[in-house]
Amino acid sequence: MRADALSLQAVRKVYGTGGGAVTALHEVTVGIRRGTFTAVMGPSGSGKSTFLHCASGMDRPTSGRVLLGDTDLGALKEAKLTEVRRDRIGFVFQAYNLLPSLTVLQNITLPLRLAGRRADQGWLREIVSRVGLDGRLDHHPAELSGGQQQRVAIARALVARPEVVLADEPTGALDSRPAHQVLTLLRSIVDEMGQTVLMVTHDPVAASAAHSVLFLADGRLAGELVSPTPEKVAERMTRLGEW
Amino acid sequence: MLTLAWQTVKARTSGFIGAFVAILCGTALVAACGILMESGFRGGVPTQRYAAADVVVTGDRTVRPPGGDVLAFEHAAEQPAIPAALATRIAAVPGVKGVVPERTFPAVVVGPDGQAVVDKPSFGHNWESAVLAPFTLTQGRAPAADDEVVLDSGLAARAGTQVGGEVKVMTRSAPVSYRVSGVAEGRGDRQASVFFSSAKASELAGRPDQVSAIGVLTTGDVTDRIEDMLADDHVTVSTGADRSAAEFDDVSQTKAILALIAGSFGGYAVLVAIFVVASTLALTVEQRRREFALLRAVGATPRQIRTMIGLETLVVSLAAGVLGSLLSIAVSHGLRSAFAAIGVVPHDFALSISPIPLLAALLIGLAAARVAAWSAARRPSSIKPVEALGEAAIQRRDLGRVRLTIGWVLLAIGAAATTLPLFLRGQLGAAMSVMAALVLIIGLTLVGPRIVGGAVRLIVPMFSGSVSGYLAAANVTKNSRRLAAAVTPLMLAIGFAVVNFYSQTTFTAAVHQETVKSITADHVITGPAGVPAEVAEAARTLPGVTAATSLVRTQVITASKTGDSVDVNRGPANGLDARAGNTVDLGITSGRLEDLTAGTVAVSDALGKKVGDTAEFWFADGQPARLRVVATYEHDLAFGDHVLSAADARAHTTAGTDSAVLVEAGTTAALQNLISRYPGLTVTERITAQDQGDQRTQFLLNLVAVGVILGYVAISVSNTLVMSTAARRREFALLRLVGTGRRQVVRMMRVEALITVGLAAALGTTVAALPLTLLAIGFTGTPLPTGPIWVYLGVLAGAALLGVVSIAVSTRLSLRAKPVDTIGIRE
Ligand SMILES: Nc1ncnc2c1ncn2[C@@H]1O[C@H](COP(=O)(O)OP(=O)(O)OP(=O)(O)O)[C@@H](O)[C@H]1O
Ligand SMILES: [Mg+2]
Repeated sequence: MRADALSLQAVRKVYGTGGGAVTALHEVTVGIRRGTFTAVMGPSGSGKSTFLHCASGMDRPTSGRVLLGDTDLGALKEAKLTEVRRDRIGFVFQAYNLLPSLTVLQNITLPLRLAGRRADQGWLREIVSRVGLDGRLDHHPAELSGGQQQRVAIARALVARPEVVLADEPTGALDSRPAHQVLTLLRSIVDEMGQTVLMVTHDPVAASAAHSVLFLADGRLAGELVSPTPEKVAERMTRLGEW
Repeated sequence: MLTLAWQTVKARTSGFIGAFVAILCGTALVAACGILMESGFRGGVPTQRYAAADVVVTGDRTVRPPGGDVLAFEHAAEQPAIPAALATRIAAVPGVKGVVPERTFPAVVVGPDGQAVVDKPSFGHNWESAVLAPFTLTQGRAPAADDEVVLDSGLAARAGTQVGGEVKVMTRSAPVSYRVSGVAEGRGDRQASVFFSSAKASELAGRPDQVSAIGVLTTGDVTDRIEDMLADDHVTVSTGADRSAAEFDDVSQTKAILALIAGSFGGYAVLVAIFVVASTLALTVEQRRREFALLRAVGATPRQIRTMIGLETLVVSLAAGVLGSLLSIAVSHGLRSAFAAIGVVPHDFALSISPIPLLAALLIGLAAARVAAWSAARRPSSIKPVEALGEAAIQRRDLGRVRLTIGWVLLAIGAAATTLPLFLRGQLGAAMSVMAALVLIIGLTLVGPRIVGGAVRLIVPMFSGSVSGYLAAANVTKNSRRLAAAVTPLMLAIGFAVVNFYSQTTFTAAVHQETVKSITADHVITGPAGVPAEVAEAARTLPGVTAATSLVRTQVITASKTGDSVDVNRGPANGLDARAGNTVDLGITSGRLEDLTAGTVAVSDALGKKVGDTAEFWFADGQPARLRVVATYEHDLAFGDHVLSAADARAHTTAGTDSAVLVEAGTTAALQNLISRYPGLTVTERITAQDQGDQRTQFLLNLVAVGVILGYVAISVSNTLVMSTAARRREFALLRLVGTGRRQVVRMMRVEALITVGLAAALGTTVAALPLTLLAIGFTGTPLPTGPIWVYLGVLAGAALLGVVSIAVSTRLSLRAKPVDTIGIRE
């Protein structure tokens, strides 16, 4: 087994064609080691979301390869790629993560249902209690706070026991207290369950919850910071320019 | 998957209301047509003269040309007679107790005031046939002598006569005096009956070896045996409610018309329903892009999205379909009443309702929804999961290549087809132009967003003056697809209504115009129950009269082969005398009208025949005709494609009378003197166009059909508008949060509504104008269609009102919530 849960090799992403073309990623090569919590930071428009979309298989790079374990995502047909995403990758968005018509439990088990699998009750109970949603399983998303909704999304990302969990600004829409809870949760699933988490964020405090921080600038990798603190991250960001 | 679909439907009820309503109304409409169609086969009125007859044998009115498929048939306009000899054969069938031949011929009683009693159809019969009802004598005795009659009690009262009294009866001649030998009581009051002695009846009926019907009294069920025995005799064997069709001409006609109308109207209804359901579903699905993107992001395959949309649609369409099927019973009764008000359906005609049309409509509804869901799901299933992250759901810009190609091809075909009325005359030409318009409309719908997009770019600069106008202009430019979705059904409604109405009025006007030009007689004699044949003969002998002719309005059935299929049509025809002189102007192009004797025919140029050729067709009573062509003529709108000799035309109608007598020169006084012997006849100077009644009926029928379909379209239009406006709540909230006033938002939406309605009016008018202009050029020679302008203005006003009100109401409702609350609503 490879040591990298996820690796990007010379990934380039160009939006649009002709004169209006924008190169969002320039030949990015990076590996995310298994069992680590990695944050991705960079100024607005630096390509963070693009990076995450390519890494998750939700969007295809213009050139370069994305490997999930040994699987080359670029080589997969759409249906197969969807299955891989469903079974091996968990994803958490900034907001609007949940289907309003489904209950919390139904939202969490949605990937399994889509895969036509039954939920492993023990595992389900474990993640539900880990994200602290016991007793709220029959509620609808509209009845939950923003932080609770994000925790449901994390539970959903975990339910299929994915190899990596990717999160795009999961705390972007939250106040500091619920944001802190969500970050602690993400850190704990890495430390205690051996998950691999890759998270895009704007917030130096959020980034400092990770083991290491990758910096992006103008679609290029601009260094890495191991064992980050909010101050160190903020200082690096200031050097990268406005953020 | 099913639970997921069910959950979604349950939770997003409001989102599915549009599709629900569309399917509900669609199924109701289609099922109602099915009920009408079934009633065309099975419905009827209580029988009157044949109530005691278990089985009634009459001539088969269906004309089936050889080589045609099941649908290649026409219903003869007149009831054909059958050989009297059949009676002996039927009597030999085991189980037959009695066989009673019935002769039927027009017999109008003259009332005490000297006027004909024609408040209801009145017929003469042979007295033996009275047992079929039965009519029982309440006074007096059966007619024995040739000058004795028995009247039904109602008729006797209206004629003001009683047993032993005198009564004047007009059969196919001047009134003759009879003695009332008895009064009989029957059942029902749809017709009046005069009974003659057997010998007199067969003399008056005029066809000694033929009878109108044979009533059979049986023991046990021998219908099948009779049917088998008469299989090759071209007869109809009726029992139960069907006997009323054998008895009453209007019921027979109604049943034929209902089957036909319901068929074509139902066809339209299915088309429109598929269309409306598809566009509503497409809108519902489009509004849920984010939801589908999220599902994709969580790991749903495109196939699963399609399945889910399909299942949701199934849940909704099943509920809506079942309700709609049930609702159709009310709708069909409504339609029946409307048709009765127009006079297409007798007031006492009962519908026959069985589960078959309801089930069929339910299945059609489900299938339509399935197709619609399939087409609506194609796009969203390929949504990229990243879209889930996008902030606002902005439309996809490009239309499918296939869709565009089909659209442009349809537009080309439709445009080409609009020229058909230039070559095709008659009702067919008018029908073609409606078809062409329909094809154009569908084509336009497919390429709609393209055209709307183009049109929007042209007109929006005019609105950019105010803030509201500026915002509206930006909205419609950026979301031309959404605008097209609103414009399309409105345009469809306008185009459809206008083409249907004005093609009919233009055609009627053309017929009228040519009739006025072609009937050049100085005097016209008409009567409420026709004009006896002898009147024309008598008119000719009057001093000063230079020519006179019978005019028999009738119909013929023609068959034409196109490729493998046989096309059968019923069209107007006329009977004229060879000695018509200058009373008519047929626009003869070859041959002579003077050669038109019994056994010959004159045909219109449109048939492409030459003098000396043989014309094959069927007379009004369904008898086959092979006649030598002696003349060809131009004025087919006034006279139809066939002009027969008056004698032939009369011989194949039940009444056996003329529709009118046309007289050249002579004095009104002399003519007045002549007709004074015939109660009810009048002399005028002009004649109305043929089948004015028929045309009017057709026209009103169309109006009802179009009205109902338009009602449906209107529901879906407001549906679409309300749905797409309500879906913009967040947008409105955002606008208000950034400081746009409530009034400004309302005004912005008003501008959008105006753009929507304006575009729909322009496109709908264009799509109607092309076929109508060509139709008018082909038929009346002027490019302007004929008809009252207020209908067009009314349609535009209605559409505008519908559009503006739907948008205004839903905007106001959307603005009711506080913006901060709305902005937080998760889509
Ligand atoms: N769908 C798209 N079409 C065209 N250009 C795009 C698209 N998505 C992103 N871009 C461009 O690619 C670049 C990178 O965008 P991306 O969303 O990855 O930035 P980001 O780092 O996530 O920014 P932010 O911090 O603001 O979310 C930007 O210049 C953006 O304008
Ligand atoms: Mg981003």
